Amino acid sequence: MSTFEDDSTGFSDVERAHVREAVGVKDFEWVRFDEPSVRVPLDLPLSQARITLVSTAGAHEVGEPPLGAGGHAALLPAEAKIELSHDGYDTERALSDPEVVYPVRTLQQLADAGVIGSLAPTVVSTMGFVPDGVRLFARAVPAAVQQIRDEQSDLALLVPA
Amino acid sequence: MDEAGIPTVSITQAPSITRLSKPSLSCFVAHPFGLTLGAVGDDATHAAVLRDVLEQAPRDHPPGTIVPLRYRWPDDLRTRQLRKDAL
Repeated sequence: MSTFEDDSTGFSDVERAHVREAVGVKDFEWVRFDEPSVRVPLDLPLSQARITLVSTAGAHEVGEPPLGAGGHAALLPAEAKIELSHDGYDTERALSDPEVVYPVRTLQQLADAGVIGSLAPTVVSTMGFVPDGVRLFARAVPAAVQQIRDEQSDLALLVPA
Repeated sequence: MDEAGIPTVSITQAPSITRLSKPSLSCFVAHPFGLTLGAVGDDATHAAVLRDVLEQAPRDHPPGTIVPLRYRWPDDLRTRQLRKDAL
């Protein structure tokens, strides 16, 4: 495990207590794994890689209902106009510049500059706050995997809010 | 996603939580929640963070690595968020 200065030490307990007491999910527990996920390194140059943005900022298309906390994913065209619905951060501030949590324009600029190959046409969007984390594995992850395969993307970039 | 054979790289703002879920590769960016890539309008930092994160994807890290990146926040917003005193 990497060692470095981590100012979030203890935050897992603070947030767990907050979700239980302030949010009201009395039995909330973090999803824990004994072993890390297997690692699949990117096996081609970044400049040739198609990248899928996987966002947990609670983004949904304007006019569509919020995602909610059920672990579902929305598949959004990268050019879609979005709203941000999420109780865990200041969405009003982020909406004044969505790039801070939903960086489609910045990724497109990196593609235009040749830093990455391309941005996949679809963004996988879900909510960061899903109290029953197992639902994410059952609902959002299969949808993400299928979309990434369908668009022949080379790398999933997960950006939280 | 990794088990399905898809390379992933993620950003974390809270390694204390990431150490529980143990994703295959993540990068620690000590920015406030809701400002993951930097301040509103700070396009240069948004791009720099993404470049630094993406450049880790082809590198030879063992599973579960958390790469600390160089980013820090100039005021106390993040500190207050970590105490749940600010959104």
